[in-house]
Amino acid sequence: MKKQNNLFKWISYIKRMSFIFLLSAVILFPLSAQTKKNITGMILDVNGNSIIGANVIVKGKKTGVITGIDGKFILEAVNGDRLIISYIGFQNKELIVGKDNLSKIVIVEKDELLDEVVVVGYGSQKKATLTGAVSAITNKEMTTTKNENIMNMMTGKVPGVRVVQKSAEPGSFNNTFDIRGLGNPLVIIDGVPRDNFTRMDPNEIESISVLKDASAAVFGVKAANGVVLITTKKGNSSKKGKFDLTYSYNYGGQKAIGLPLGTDAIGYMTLMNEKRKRNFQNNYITQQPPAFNNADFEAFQSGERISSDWGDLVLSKFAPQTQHSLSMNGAGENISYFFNVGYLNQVGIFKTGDLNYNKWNYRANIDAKITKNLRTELKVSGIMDTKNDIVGGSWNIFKSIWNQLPTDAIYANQNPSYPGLASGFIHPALAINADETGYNRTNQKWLQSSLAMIYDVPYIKGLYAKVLYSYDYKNSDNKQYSKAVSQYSYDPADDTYDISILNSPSKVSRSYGTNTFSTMQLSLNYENSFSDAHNFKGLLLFEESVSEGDNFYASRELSLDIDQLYAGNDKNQIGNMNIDGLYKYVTKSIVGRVNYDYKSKYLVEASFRYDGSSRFKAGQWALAPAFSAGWRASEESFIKDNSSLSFINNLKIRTSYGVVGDDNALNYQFLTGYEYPYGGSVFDGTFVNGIKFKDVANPDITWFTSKTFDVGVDVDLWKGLLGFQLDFFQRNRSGLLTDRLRSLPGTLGAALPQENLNRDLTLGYEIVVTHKNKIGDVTYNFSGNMSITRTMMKYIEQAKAGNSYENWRNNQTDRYTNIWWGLTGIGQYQSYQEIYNNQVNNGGGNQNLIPGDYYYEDWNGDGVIDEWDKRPIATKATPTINFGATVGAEYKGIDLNLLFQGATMVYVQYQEQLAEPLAWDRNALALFMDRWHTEDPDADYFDPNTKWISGTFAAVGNGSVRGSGTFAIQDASYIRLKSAELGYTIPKKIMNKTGLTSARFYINGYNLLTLTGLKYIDPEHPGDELYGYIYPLVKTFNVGFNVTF
Amino acid sequence: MKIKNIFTIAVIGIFSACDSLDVPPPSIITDAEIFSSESGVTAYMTSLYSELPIEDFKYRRDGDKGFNVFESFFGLGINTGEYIQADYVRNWDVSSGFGYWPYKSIRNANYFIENLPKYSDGLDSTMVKSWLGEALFCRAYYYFGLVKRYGGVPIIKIPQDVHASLSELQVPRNKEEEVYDFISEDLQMAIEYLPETSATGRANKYVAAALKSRAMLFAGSIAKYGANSYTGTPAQVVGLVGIPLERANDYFQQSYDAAVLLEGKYHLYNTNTDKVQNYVDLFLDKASTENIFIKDYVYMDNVEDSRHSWDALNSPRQMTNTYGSCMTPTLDIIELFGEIKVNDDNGQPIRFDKRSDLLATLAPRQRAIAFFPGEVFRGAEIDVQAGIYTTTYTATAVPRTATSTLQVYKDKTTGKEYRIMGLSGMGSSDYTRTGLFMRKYMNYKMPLTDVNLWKSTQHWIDLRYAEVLLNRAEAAYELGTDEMKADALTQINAIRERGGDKLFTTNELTIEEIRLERRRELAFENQTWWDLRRWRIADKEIYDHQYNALYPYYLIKEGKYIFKKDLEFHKARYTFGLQQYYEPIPGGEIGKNPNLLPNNPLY
Repeated sequence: MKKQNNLFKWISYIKRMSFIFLLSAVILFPLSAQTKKNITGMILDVNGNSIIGANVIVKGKKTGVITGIDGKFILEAVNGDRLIISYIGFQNKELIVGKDNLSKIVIVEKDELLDEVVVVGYGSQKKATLTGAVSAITNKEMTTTKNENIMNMMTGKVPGVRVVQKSAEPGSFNNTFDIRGLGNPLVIIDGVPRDNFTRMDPNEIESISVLKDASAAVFGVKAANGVVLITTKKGNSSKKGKFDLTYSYNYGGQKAIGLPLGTDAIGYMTLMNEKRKRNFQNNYITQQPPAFNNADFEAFQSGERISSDWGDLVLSKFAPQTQHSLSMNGAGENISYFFNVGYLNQVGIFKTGDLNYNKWNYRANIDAKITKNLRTELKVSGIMDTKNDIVGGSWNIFKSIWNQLPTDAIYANQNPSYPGLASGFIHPALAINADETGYNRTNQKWLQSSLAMIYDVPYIKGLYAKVLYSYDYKNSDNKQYSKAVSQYSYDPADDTYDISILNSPSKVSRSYGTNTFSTMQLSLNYENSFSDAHNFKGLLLFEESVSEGDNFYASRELSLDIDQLYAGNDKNQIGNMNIDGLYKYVTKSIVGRVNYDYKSKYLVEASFRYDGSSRFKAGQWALAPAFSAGWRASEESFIKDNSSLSFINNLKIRTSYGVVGDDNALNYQFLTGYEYPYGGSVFDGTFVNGIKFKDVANPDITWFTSKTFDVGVDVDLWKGLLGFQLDFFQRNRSGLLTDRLRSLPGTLGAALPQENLNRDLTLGYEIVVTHKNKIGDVTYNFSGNMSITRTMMKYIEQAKAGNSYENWRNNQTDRYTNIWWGLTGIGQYQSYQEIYNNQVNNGGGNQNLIPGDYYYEDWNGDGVIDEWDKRPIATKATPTINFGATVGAEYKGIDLNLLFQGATMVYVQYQEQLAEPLAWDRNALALFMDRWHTEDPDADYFDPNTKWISGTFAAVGNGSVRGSGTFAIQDASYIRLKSAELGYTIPKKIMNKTGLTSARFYINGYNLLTLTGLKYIDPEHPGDELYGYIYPLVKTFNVGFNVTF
Repeated sequence: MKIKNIFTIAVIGIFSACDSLDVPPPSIITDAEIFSSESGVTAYMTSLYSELPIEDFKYRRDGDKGFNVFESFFGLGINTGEYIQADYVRNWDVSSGFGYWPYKSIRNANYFIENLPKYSDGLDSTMVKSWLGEALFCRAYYYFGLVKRYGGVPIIKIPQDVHASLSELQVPRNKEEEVYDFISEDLQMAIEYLPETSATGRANKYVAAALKSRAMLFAGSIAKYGANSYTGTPAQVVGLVGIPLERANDYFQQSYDAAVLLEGKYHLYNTNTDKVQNYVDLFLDKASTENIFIKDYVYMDNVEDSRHSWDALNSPRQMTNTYGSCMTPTLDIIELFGEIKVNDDNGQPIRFDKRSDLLATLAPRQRAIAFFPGEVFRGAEIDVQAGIYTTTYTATAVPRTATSTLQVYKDKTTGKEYRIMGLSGMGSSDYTRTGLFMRKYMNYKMPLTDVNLWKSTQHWIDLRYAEVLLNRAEAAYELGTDEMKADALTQINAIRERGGDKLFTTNELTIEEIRLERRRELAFENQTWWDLRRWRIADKEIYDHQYNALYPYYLIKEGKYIFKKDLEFHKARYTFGLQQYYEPIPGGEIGKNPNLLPNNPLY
């Protein structure tokens, strides 16, 4: 069952108060005699069981009774009176005396989903009356995935939220994350914008809400890309006055997936020989001798020489990951508290374990009632983490191990004390070893605190004031120790080892940065209902924030083997700062919002926000108005009172429109000024630093304007057997910055500043389908979601095309962005005959082609494959279509949860070693053994009679073997079993004997199974980031338990 | 205290603690920070000075290059016969220039002039005046860089509004005369504002006066000698090129007056009694009394711009670790100082025992501006020859030559080996084309191991007193009164005396001699090009012209050296196109502003 959100407990408090009021009204004002009759009735639930203790009141009169043990009631009323029947957990029902049949009144249970409260900006709302596109997930839904990064725990679970995990490198948190393809969203943790979302301890999160449309507009000029709201847990307890102590433990083993490795010596020598034969110039007349002869092969085949496995040298099969969390959770009369301490340790896949990540989280959330009207909320949390990286970064290791030749010895003279010369790189075994090559350590600390006071204004029901002050501090401390390291080559002549020293001199570098953020919010909140029909909610808020950043760095060369700055040399020392990290911004905002609904049937919401910022020109204020409305058709009598439509539990149509801003690109372009130092002159024999003149100011520069529109429908049928949600959304942005295409005379002496000229449009759909049911003791649920989103440029400042082809090729206006242009591939030549028969010139007059080579569509029909045959063939970047599905089931304490997640309309292209075997004449990845080659290794490549064996890739030796266009740009669609969890909760009966409150054990897997058309490499592995040498994704197997004392 | 009160106090407290939204960005330096302190203004000044169009070691006049470039050997002297450039560049199309259009720098100067006074409250008023003077000096310098290339250009005195209408921004060209007058005004104001002394590298009163004497001399010459050029062309008709003849004397007088201001303030360099060494040191001594305005260099590890490559590029090949001999002086420029006697009276080559024996016959300045074979430099004798005569020398005998310094001739009879072209070599690429090498500005104190790219730090003398005297002499002579002519003679003789040359008598002094003296004294200083243009004699002097070289040979049979004079190695022909008295307005600019039309004549 979903818990009502504690943060907004006051809502339920008010509700409870009104209930008590109602109840007392019933008791204190008994019936008075008028022209009335005694009417009787009986109240039943859907199963025909009588309801005891239900309230029956006559609307507008102070008359009411409570049903007896048989569910019956008697009260005095006149015809035409309206009876209201209410009972806890059930929906209210209204009947007219004399018209409706009162003998068997069936009341239905409240729908849990509709009763759910969802956190929205600066408040919360009932899901039933929500008018915005807001998706939320609870802690329970999130933690079915076990991962070190909260983003990855959301993958596939929230419609419209697109998460791509690019790397599983410990401590890198390398993801792309957006809402509906809109760009980087604003993340708010407990009401305050914060940047540590990925690093939170999942155990301290109560819920995550995603504001996808104009419901984000209360965040004004930061809201254009949607908002993620994270709410942490509050104190409560299973029994009043008692506290719960919960310990959770998770142990995982990680294994790299989709990580190709280099081939062995035989493979390498085979491919090298093929590469040499592939060379047309040198083999057309006479055959070149092979690079490696039979003796070379035999040496390896007989075991005389051993192929070097550089991958095995550095990669471990299994890298551990542990997570502990201990929380204390309790509530008393006037105070409730939630304390949590979490620890995470994740080791990278290198054998030394010197690439690793450690994190400590702690949190204390305390709520106290000070007086009858005054409450306070204190939240303090901290994160301390350490990432130990290897000098030069992990990507160098992957590049190196793919690059090293299997015919080169790992150790000089096979002596493990003497690591050999690893071509172009530091020896991988040394590079992954901090003792040998040093380390790159980043310590980060976040301290976040907020204090809120909530004051219920007396005499005005539903009005309260709130003051919140928060102060966040972050520091980042990086220390890099790059140590000179020796590698050896063996000279058999005199049995000596020659030393070559790399990374010399040793060097220590430090950088240190701090960021602070403080915010203050003052708000007045009001919520009340009138005549049981008119529900009002209002918010007026003033917010102010100050953020500051500062940093510096220093580095020195070392003569002694001491990894400290003080021990460095004066010569060549550096001390400076990163100017981008030095800032101070102040913002002020006023927010207002009104919600009104009539009988939860007609819903409207209007809000505005005024933002002022020190990044704006003086006097500039950004206004963000928004409006949304909803209609719950299911509350209309034609559905509600129509028994044939009683399967409709909820049918809501909603729409929203808002104008928000995006000030991300504002960087004081309205100011003139100078950068320093820049160049200089020599005055009196001394070099004096000069300045750089900033571009001309644009006094009119402003934020981007984003108009967001959403229309959606929410449907719940048959009490959860079927539910769906459908949303269409679009966002029109205008005022994107670009340079105006206006040639001004050089005599002006200034370049034009950026202006707000470009426009774009993002639009898409989202659909969610849910099903839940209970069959016997098995309860299960299914939820599937899919979203599609694309962005189109609506106006782009560009030069007018010279001709229609150029216009078609280069015009960006009214085009989707992220389009990949390329040749359309047809196939690979299967034989020389096919090459001969192909009249289209695929390059070089087809002279150099051999079977296995690619040929393309001559799109413009000019007989030549060239630039002019290119057309749009794929989409770039984040997947266009994302989908996810969760399946959950529970049976007598056993629970199973599966998450399938996938994406389509996503493409990838590889480069360097992922595309070209033997690049720079170094090793090839083993996957390239799946290539076209001749049946007889000695055969002439250019002899038409040569027999070929087909493969996925073209024959080795002509650069990339992946071809180009649609061959190289490959469909990376996939669907995977992202996570699977099987748990067992020990029955209460047994638990009671142990003295524990509850205990659950589970096994869990992450990235268990992937279905994709892509071969050899994981579909999420980026082809372009760090040339594809980026740390791979991992598959993780977890075991763990939660115990509550 | 009641809770309500606490609440009220808290709210009031928080409100009163509010930050203002007016928070300046800490990473951007504002006008206030620049204009209200001496160090801020100095930083601004370094940028203005660093963009001055000083045609020094790092100046390349063609293509898209300009100032502060690596290839210093594409200077102006290759078009005036002062030196021959290495290898591939022989005759140069000098018509297009590199599109100098320094309005960004002008805007920065204008901005400074407009805004500094707003901040003058907290500043020392004499400093403010002095800084304004510097900005005016820099602005005048930029405009002088423009006017000497293009004639009339648009005069922009205050920073324009970017958002102004296109028609407002499409400023037409001013007349050439107006630009010179504007320069004159700016410099006159600078002279008034600037103090007597300044840090080296910055302007003072006399720096401005020296520049004024140069600029006004240009204006006077153009008025006097340009009156008949391009007559009737659209640009000439509206005064974009050419200055009315009647202005000539006014300009010459201004030039003269400005030059006179420096009298007694600077002195010709005369510290060494050895005339050759004195003249060599003149260009290397930072403390020289002759230096008025220098562009200085200093060795900064991380700023390549603070250094140059003069030594590495132009030293004889054996005295540099890279390149060498990029610019080699012609015999023509050397013989402006007097003919070099290599033949006896019978026309037979004089036999020299040593190559260095020739040196004794040279005039001091002749020897000081160029290295001749046999001169000692960086601890060694410059070893260069065009070839060797292995047979008995006759006028028709063919010498043995080589294409590389590595080529050696072995005398079979004696068994002795001879390096055919010596260690420095004569020929193409890194070898001299003229038998001579640059000496002016060459840092003889630099050890050979240091002679590499971006290692030189000797200063460039942009304005030196000798030039001011030459300006004065020329202006005076052009003014033409006897009194003035006498003054001209005094100045010219001062220069000749310091140079160790015979003095002129009143009768010997002609305008031609004054001009020749200027070319001698300012050789390789990127002045002659402009002088030939303003005198309007370049098209006559440089017409299908070839330049000469000095070819040293070794006669094995005699064990002697001889020198021959002949056309330089490339035998290139040089012609000054008639249109070249002005450069065309940079092409792209006309597209953006048609009001720059008409373009300069013949373009």
